[in-house]
Amino acid sequence: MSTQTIDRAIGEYVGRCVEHLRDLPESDRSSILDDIRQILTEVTAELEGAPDDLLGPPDRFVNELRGAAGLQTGEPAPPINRVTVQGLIEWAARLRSHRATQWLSALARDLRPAWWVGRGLLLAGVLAQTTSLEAWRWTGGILPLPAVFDSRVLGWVTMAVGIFGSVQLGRKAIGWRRLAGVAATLVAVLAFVAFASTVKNSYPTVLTGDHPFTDVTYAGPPETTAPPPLDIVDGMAVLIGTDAGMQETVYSPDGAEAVYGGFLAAGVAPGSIWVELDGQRSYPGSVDAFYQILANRFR
Amino acid sequence: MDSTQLLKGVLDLAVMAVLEERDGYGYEIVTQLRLAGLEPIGEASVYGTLRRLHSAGYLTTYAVASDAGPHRKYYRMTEAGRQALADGSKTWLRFTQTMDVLLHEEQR
Repeated sequence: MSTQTIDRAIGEYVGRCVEHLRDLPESDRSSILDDIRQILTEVTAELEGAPDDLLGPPDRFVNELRGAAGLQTGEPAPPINRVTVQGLIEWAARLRSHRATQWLSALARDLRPAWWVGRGLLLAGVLAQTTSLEAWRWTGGILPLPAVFDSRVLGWVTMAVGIFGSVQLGRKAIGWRRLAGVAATLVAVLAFVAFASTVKNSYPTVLTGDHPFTDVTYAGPPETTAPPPLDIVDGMAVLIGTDAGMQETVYSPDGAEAVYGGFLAAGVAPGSIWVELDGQRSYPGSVDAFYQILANRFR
Repeated sequence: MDSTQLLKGVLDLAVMAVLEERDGYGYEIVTQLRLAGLEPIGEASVYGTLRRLHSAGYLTTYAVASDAGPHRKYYRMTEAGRQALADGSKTWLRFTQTMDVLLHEEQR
């Protein structure tokens, strides 16, 4: 193409750019048009082709140039795209602080197997607690061993099954296994909460529970030889014993019943068992009389 | 993420990096950037960036008469421009180091 043809093509292209710059002030508009003319001069010096082919249609070209020049809205953009790079830096920094969160969630993930074992144990404990009188025995003060239907062997089996099942549910938590795992977790957590809140009030099941006590406001351990808990008020203790020397201090109706039943089982005649309340001893002649005394005292 | 998005954010640095070594005119800078690997870069973006850096005072221009053709408008970095490039480079390196660590973490 001859220089004249090129110049004419450039002039025509620049002319078509004008309408996309109308919103700009005169000075900006004319300087941009000069720039476009300059660009086209340089480009056509290097490459063959019509301006439209080399740069694309005027509207797109002008928009792109204005965008890069920061003249979209007629205001210059900040010199360095500090906005963008800074924004990216801050975003990365926020992510980095999230790495602490990442670490924590990684830790939680690593601890999950331990939870699976604990969950299995709790589930075995649910069965133990609901089927045995003495559900747990602490071996060496460390390991809790459950009994199911009062059988230690069954307890061991249940514990092994529970732990194994829980671990298996956890290892491949998809589909039904996932649902089962969630259900197991719920049951285990609820059971734990229930255990924790009833530990103070858990008495052995009443052996001769024909006269249940209701509205008893006292709570305490049934252990008859253990020292009383600190929140027991003086005078709430019941002493049960025989003239032969056996005696127990009891702090609850259920415990008293258990002790009384224990004396009976040991062969002591009902009339020989005394009950000492507030320093006064009485010899209830029968089980019913015994209950009546306790009911009067503990209500 | 679209690479053109990333490009816009760093075009200032790229353009100034090219001009740091040697003055250049518009289309030459476009060519250099494309040769360096910034394939999708458009002329309009480069010229617009040149324009913006110029109005920010980081670049000055001068015309060079050419026997064979028309005048060429050359761009040259100012002191302020060199400083801005140095600051921007530091920021950029910090950012890419952070992203490297993050992205490698993700790939694990």
